[in-house]
Amino acid sequence: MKRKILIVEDQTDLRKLVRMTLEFGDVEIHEAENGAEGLRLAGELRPDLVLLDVMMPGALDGYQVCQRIKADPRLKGVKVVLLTARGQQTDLEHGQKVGSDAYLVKPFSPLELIDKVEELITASA
Amino acid sequence: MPNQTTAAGAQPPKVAVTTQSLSSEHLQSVLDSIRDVIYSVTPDGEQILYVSPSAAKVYEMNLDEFTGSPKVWFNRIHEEDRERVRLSLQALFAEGQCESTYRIELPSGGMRWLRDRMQIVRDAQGEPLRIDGIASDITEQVLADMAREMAEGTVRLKDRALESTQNGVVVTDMANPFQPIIYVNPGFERITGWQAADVYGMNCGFLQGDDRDQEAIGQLREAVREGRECQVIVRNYRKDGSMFWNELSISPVRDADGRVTHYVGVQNDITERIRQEEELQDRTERLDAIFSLSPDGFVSFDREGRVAYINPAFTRMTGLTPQAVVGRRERLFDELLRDRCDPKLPYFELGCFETQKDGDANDDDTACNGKTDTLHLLRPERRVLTRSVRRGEGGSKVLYIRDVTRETEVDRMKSEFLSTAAHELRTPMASVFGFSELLLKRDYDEKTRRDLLSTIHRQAGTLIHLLNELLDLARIEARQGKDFKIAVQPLRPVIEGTVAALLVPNDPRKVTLDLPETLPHCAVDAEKLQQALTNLLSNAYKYSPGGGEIRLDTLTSTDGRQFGIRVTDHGIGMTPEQLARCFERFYRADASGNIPGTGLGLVLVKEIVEIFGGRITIASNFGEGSSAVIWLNVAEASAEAA
Repeated sequence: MKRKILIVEDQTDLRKLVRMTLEFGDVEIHEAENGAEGLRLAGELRPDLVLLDVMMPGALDGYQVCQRIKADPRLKGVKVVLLTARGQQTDLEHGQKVGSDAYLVKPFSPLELIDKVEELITASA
Repeated sequence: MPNQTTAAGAQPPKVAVTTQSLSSEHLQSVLDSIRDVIYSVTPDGEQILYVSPSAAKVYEMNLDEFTGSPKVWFNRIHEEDRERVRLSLQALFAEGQCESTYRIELPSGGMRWLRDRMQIVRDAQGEPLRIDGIASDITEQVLADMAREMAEGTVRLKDRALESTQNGVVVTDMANPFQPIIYVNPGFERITGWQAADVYGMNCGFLQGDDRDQEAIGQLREAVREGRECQVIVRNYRKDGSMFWNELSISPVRDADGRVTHYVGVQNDITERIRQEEELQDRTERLDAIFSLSPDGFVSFDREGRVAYINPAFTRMTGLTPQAVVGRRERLFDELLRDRCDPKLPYFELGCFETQKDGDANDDDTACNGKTDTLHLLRPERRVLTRSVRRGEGGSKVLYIRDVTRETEVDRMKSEFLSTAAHELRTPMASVFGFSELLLKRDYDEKTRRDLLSTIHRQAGTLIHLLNELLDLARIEARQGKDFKIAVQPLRPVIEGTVAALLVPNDPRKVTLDLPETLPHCAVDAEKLQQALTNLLSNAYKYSPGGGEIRLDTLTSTDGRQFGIRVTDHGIGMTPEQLARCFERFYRADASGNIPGTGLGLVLVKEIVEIFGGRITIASNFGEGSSAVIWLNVAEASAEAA
């Protein structure tokens, strides 16, 4: 069965980067441009993993989306990796508080992203 | 008693009589009328042979009692005087006579002073026959003497007091029309430098020198004229000519008829006190000026912990007026202040500052005295204040308050700016780093390779642009336009030059330039104005990806003093929310990254135009396009036809 990964990121180039990095093998990749759309798609698709940008325009930022996914019983077991340009200690702590499984600070290495994603998906399998 | 033969009444009395002719009866009558006590006792004192009737009065007892108990008279002598009387009795036997003064105690509880003169009467063989004596009651005389001595003693004391007092004392004779000085004490000599001998006979006025035009002198004259007491502070002059402040009290001395015979003046040299008072007043005035001008707030508390003073800055910050707080107790003051603070944040009462001081003995003084905390006021408006307490030695306390609202806001903005700037740099960096790593690690076909490389290149370009604009912004903010080359110059070359130099790749549109015949002169830095116009024009291109006219025209304000350069597009426009935020740093109406930009372009335009003394306005309709106007002040008399 194909793994489903949802990318929620407002920057077109970064969505492309993540897609190109992960798009090989048995993976199905979906994209959302903002928090609200990301949350909706997460509910519809029930992905194995969500890559979530923290700072996004609109009513919902990445932290809020993460919190809602983690609080939704139907989305139990969905892994969340936060992508952020803010790498300060308080930001990392905030990420843990909302229940994220991992944290990647921009700019990140695509290989590192692959490792992180495989690690999380394997663990859940 | 010898001769008793001449009986009274036998013959009519003669004018001149001798003792021999005095009858026993007559003698008795004389003895009866004498107030002194005349007596005769046996040499051993055991038996009283005779005592005159006056003894009854003097001793306040019946004559029988004297004969009944022979030692009674001795027992009545005051205990302290008995030894003395015994000694004089010894002298009596040695010398034949003696005199002794002693007190006797009376049954009524009183006391009398007696002077007792005794002599021994001897027989032919020289043996003591009896003792005769006269005891006189000298009580009144003794009391009078004592009173006089006491009075004399008091006068001596007064003299000594006058001599030793630090005050100057001067007495003038008011019976003499010249009112001369008749006495001065050493204090006067010390204060004025004049010797008593120099000033006797002079009128006190000489102490005023030529400085006669003093209100106090008038008061003195009036008091003397009315014979009143008076106290004034008057400028007097010493012998060496130096001035001193004399706190002078004068009071009249009257004779039995109530006429003023003398005036007594008491001087007190208060020059030093006045100097200190003046110094204190100067200091108070200086401090008042400092406190009332200070932008920082001060509140001082007295020893009882009541508000003694608040300065205007404190009132400005907190809205608490002197009427509302001066005289209030510290606790109430705390309540008033707390009431203005954000209730969600803790408020430490002023007392806490002291508890901490007492509680921690190791804490050094500056640390606890200078302890500062922060208050977040909501009323009368949002403010951030820092507060510290200094305690005076005498238990007074000063609260020092600084308004750090602006600093706090600037700090917050700086830190937000840095954090946002870092974020903005990291985002293009993520593409550059990520795509280049993919290219290095994986094999892609030529088409994909080119695509990724162009993305990397484009994002690197964004980074460069961002860095440039950040630097521009930092420079403009730091220098506040000091490096601007502002000169009054014609606008036409600047505008036309900008449009000509504009490079927009992959867009065939040309700017529609609509300039009037005449353009005014304005005080601008041509290069910076060009940068601002370029930013507006490139925004117009970027945000109208679907095409449409890009137009540059001009406006003049109704009063003719401001000139506007307007750039209009027919692009995607902005919602009112986007419009409201478009001057925020890094704010992008397009967040997707599809339209390149840094979010700093309009910020830079605004900074530049404001340094010119102008302003920027933007109007926009979502989906229809935007229009931005740079308004500049027209230089005086600058109609230009070019």
